[in-house]
Amino acid sequence: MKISSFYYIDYPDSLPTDPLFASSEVYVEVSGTDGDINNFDLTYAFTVCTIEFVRRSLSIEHFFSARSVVVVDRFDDHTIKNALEAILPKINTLGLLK
Amino acid sequence: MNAIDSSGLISSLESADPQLLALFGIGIVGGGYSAAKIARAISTSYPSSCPYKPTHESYPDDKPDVAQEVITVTVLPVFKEGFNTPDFRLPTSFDTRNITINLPAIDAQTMADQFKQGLQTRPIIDRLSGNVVGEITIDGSRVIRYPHSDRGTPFPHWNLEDKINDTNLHVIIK
Repeated sequence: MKISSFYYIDYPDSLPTDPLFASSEVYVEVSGTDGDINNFDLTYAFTVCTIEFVRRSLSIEHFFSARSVVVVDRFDDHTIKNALEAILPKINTLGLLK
Repeated sequence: MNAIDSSGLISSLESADPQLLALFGIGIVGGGYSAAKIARAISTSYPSSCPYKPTHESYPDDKPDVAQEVITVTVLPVFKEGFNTPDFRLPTSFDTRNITINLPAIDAQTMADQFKQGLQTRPIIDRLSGNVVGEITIDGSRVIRYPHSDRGTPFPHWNLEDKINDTNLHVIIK
């Protein structure tokens, strides 16, 4: 199993201006080893946000809630790719199947 | 409104739902598409005398990883041929978020274009390859995934996702 592609719904063609304060729904397309960007098995959705985003939400709202959350220290491609690959073996239980 | 008579032909263009007509490639579409709207259009136009009864399709056995039920509605060839094919399948209920229809490539492209309702869009970029895999309206309400195949719909198809109504239309390219 591998990640054939992933993309940010809230930053579809860019990265957030402040990588320490960001949150986005992230779609992750997963395939077998022979899959590719347009031939894959399943799509999962996550809420990926930074710890600073959670901290400010707690400060203002006194709670934070979202489905299938992945918290990162920085919102950048490298960090998020590593996080998604780390949870890939459990993605069917952690991710929201689209 | 019932836009189709018992023979399966459109009886009145004036009374027909424009969403439904659009599925036939007829008329001018207003208001855009959503799976819910299309399902509603089909349900209100389904003739009770049609010899092919609706079938609610789900795949609990061969697709155990697909949580949502997938409904297949073959629309264009059926209506154009006047219900001459037993492949006509309609869901008995429309509470599922995923609906699949089959369209010729040019009609699928048209449907994707009209799905945007004239709204400006941004490309969606795959963060691994840098390729553009779709687009999203500026307001974030509509997500278009360019043609691909996946386990739930193993044929080249578009995904037209309406995030406000939480519907996802799978448009298979015939």
